[in-house]
Amino acid sequence: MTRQSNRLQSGGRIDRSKPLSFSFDGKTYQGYAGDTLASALVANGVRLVGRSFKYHRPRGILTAGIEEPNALVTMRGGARHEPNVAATKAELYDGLEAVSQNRWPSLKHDMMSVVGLFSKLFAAGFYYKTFMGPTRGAWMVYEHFIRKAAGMGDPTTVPDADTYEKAHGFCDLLVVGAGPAGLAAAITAGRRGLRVILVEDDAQLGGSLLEAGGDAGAGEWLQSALIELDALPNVRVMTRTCVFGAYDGMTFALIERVSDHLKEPAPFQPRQRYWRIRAERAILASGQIERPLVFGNNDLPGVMLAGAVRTYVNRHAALPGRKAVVFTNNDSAYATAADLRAAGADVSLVDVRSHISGDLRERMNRSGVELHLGCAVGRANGGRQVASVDIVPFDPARPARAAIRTRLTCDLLAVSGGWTPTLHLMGQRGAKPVYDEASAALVANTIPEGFDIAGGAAGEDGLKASVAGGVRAGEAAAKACGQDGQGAQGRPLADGLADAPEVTPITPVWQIPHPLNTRARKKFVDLQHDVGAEDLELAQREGYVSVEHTKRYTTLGMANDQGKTSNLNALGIMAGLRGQPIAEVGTTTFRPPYRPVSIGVLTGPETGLHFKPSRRSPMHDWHEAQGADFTTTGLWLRPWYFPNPGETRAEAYIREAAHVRRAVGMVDVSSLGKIDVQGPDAAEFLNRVYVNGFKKLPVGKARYGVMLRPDGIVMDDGTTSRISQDHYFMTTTTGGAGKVMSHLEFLLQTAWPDLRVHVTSVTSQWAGMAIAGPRSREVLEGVISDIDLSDEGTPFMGVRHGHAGDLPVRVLRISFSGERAYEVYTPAGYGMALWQRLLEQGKSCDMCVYGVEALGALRIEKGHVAGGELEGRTTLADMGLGRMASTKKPFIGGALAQREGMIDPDRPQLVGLELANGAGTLRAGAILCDPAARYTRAIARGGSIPEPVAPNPADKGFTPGNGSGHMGHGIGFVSSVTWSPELNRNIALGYVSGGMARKGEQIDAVFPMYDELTAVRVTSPHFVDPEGERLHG
Amino acid sequence: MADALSALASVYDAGPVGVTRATPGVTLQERPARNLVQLSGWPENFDTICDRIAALLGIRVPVDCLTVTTHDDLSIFRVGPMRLWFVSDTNSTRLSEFLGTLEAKDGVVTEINHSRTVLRIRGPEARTVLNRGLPIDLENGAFPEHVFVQSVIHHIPVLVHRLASPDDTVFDVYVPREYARSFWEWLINAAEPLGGQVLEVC
Amino acid sequence: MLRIACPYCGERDYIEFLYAGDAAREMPALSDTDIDRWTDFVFFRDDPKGEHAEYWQHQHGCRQWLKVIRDTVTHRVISVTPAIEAGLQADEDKVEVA
Repeated sequence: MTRQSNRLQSGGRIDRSKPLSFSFDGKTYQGYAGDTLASALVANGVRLVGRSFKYHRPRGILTAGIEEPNALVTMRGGARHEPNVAATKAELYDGLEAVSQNRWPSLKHDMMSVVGLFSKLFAAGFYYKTFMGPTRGAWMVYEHFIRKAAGMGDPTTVPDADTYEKAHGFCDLLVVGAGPAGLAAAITAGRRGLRVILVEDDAQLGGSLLEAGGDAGAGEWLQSALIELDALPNVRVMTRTCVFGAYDGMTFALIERVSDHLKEPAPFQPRQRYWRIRAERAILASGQIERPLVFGNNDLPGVMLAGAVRTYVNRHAALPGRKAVVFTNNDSAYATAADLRAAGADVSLVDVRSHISGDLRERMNRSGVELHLGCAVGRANGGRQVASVDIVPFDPARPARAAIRTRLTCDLLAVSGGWTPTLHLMGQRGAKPVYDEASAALVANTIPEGFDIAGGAAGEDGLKASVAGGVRAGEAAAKACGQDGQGAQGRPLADGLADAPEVTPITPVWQIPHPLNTRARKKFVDLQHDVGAEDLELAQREGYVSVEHTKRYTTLGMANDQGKTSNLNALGIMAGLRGQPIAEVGTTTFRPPYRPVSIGVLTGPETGLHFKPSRRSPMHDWHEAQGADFTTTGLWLRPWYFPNPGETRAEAYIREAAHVRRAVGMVDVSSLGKIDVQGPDAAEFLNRVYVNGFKKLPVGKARYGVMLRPDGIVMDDGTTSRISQDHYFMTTTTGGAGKVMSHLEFLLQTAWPDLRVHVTSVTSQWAGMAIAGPRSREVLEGVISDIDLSDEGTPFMGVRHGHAGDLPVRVLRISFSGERAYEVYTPAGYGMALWQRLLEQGKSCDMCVYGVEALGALRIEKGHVAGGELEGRTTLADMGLGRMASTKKPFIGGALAQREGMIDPDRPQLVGLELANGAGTLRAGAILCDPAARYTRAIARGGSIPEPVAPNPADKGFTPGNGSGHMGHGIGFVSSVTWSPELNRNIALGYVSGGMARKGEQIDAVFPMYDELTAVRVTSPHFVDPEGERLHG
Repeated sequence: MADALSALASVYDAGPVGVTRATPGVTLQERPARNLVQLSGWPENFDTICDRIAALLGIRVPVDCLTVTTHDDLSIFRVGPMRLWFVSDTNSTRLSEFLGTLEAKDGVVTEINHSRTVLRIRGPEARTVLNRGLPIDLENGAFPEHVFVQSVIHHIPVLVHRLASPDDTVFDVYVPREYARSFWEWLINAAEPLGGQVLEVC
Repeated sequence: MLRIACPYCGERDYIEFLYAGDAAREMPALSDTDIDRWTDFVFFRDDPKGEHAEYWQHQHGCRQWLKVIRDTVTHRVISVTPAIEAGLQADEDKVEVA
């Protein structure tokens, strides 16, 4: 364990009684509670923390916040492995393990740093120039090298060990940021009774106050503010939480890092929580982000933002360097110089401005800071870290190359190019900030409805102004929420705070020219994506002038820091190149997320078991206990087949289907959509939505119905029964239920509000089971005593109500399998009991239970249409049901079903299909083609005529292709396939142009994905019992 | 009449779930099958029908969607502009007799007594648990007692009813029966971090 | 993350609603067999920049169909009325014209 060489003896907001040990790149160090990984590395004198994205240049810590472009590390390991964590935001915990990224084999000796020697290769637009057009084949050669060289941390393929939560929150006022302005706003609004949520990204409240060091009154003000906040029950404080998105309807997305500061989450606790918060109002008190200055070698480790230096010294008692140069164009860095001196460092200060206030000059003299006014750092020098800087005379009004005046040795270069208000959330709502000459910053222009800004974000400088701004915004929010301030009590929050000192205005500087007689060094603008000033120049020269084009061509601002420290510097440089004011260059668009968000937390608990909910039949537990395999339709889990021990799926469903035709079988049909249609106009309504008539359907009878979409395409089908004069019971397909329900409600509420009809989904209310097969009646008769199930008592399509013992039942004599069959419905809670009784009775009737696959086989044998045929493109006539459409009454879809293309005689129509030679494979989705086209094409190409083939996709070297010789859409397609136990061969349904006129013809079924060509023969779709005699068997 | 089988029969286990706390953050309990019948009316005479209900059953029919009126064991939910749910633990003869007298021109009656699984969620963290999925403001001011909402939790349509209770916060959640098991699994997971207790069905 | 104020249920999250597009169009009478008028109703849509009338169903709430006026530029919801009222109004208008 090493001593914390750069830890100050006293001060800071760290807890020296809680030492924590951690490792970085395998070496163990010590820090304290209250440290971040970055501050602990600073305290231990670790400078080199990563390698840069493209050139693999050594990089150190630049910032102390979320804007960090360099110090990205991989944390934790195994199933908690997480790449690209900003060390500046990672709270230290005991046992923290972090490794540096983007280097091989080690950080110090990175083989890839040779890339720097070929850096021209990686200039702006490199990919576009090298890998497109005639040279794009080069990608094949270079891809591996580039992928290895350019990149960030590695992802993991191990499933995440942690859980994530989602949560919804509501408030009157959302305050983003708990610095002085945010605290003042939250307290002010809280005093007036608003429900406030105050969000702070840091673990502690205070914002800039935590970094203020000895600033007059700061500590005391914070302390009393926190005490008052604690006493306001209507203010909810959320720390370690970041508002990363602002959306329509004043909805905000937040990530709460519940356990990121722990080695692993406590039992049952999530790692992170994804909040969606609806607020009446929002105040952005999100402060400002400091900009670096752009000069040669400005990326060397040891170059750090001046504000970050202050944070490390004052908040963490960690001294980033003992011999420091501070380089600035504004007053804020003078506080850094003073604090560094107070911490015992030697300090020189370089300011591009020639004049500063007497007060400031006096303070520097008193502290012993050496001043270089009217100067700039022309370049930094050093190998793996900054060792010296070359000072040049500099006139911001006429920036020009100048000879080096002097060289200052140093181990720290603190830079400040000014501060940019953090307005991302407003920007996401479409309010782009604009450039303000006076503050040399992008400031708020328009403020979106519901929003307000305060403190640094509003350009308010200093504690007193920020607090006053927060109070004003808090009062305005209270007023907007209808709280006029009556009864609000508390001390005036800005009382006793000192006025800000006199300020010498900032002088914007966007880049420092290379000193005379020196070789050009890289001047980085976007450190994370390795984009330099010269890349921006190149993009301009090549015509990528617009800011959005420049951004994409150079990738500036597109790394995971989203250009927080680089965007304005880039705009300044572009403005200079174009000779335009910055305001005319424009800004890029702000989009969520403000900070990187893990996919895991966006997924929340909706993974694994909870990926999506399942709908289960009332008999589900029985199916499960029987070892059924399930298939999903929509969200429904339906029993697919019930395998006997050792049976495959095919064996099981073939056995089940054969059993139904031979004796009797029972299948769970509870998932069918069920809708009660009730009211005096119910009959009229059904007449309008179904193609066939329902008005004359007698009570106690069911009818098969088809409904069309308004465009004339078939929407859904099902059976509808008339329960009483004004009450119909409609069934829909499992997948179509929701759509049909909304469709019916739409018509009733928009087109025909005069109809007296109510529709209610009763899918959940009823359990349904179909008993099919020659012995079905026998099974039912043993269970239901009070219904006459004879052909006279319950004829085909008859509907009866009665009881199975004490269970009420509704019996529909309808058939999907073509066998004598009954659908029996009972209230869902009795479903299992009825199922059991039928099973018990079925024992003596040789009954089996079958699943959806056998159900499908049976209906394909009968040529009944289902999902594969009702696929959103087919008309009633295509399905061979054209004669169902009533000519006596209009119905939805009737008009457009008469369009030219819909009545085209060449439309593919429903047919049966079977293998022509008994060889090959029938596949649903195969394209049906005219064999003549194959020969014509082949002859036209002068090639050989391909014969039907079926290469095995499992063969090594197999590639999908077009060995079939066919092109285009063909003349139809295969919609459903099965093995027919009854016929003992493969059969299929499909649509083919010409339909039954082609009966007996041999055509090609092409499946390009497997390069298959199969000869099939067109047959009738009614494979089994075309006369329908078995319905009465 | 046979007893209806709970949709949770195979997964319901009374006992603590998740974090151990001195008193559970939330208790979860399935409510046994209830009488639930829907009445849908017509614009021309719905008010008259409501008046008849009030006179006959001594219970005011809620005027606004989202409100519930309760008298003895019977609660009336206004689930749509002209749609009511009658919910009770015991079968009210007077209610069923009244509904039996209605003709289609008065309104239509739909039995949905088996269509919902009802779960009671109670305790200091009841709101927290629900808000893990429910995009509805549950604070007192926004969601007082005798109010309900129809919304969605984890893609599942739900009706959430805040019951009157002087001591704690109580919600009944009505879930379509076929979703009950998925909802229950979601609910248990949401309760675990807060310390839950599954109570015997009652 | 739109919020829509359902006239029956209050302001709710968009996830409770089903979107069904243009509400400015009017369905022809069912007995109308004119293909052009139906084609107009089913297929032709305005794509206004600004206010747009559209149908939403409060699918997971009261199941009422709503006519929402929404600004397609700002996504601001300008008004929400029950579709059934709009439909009845249109019917009355038709009667007056006749």
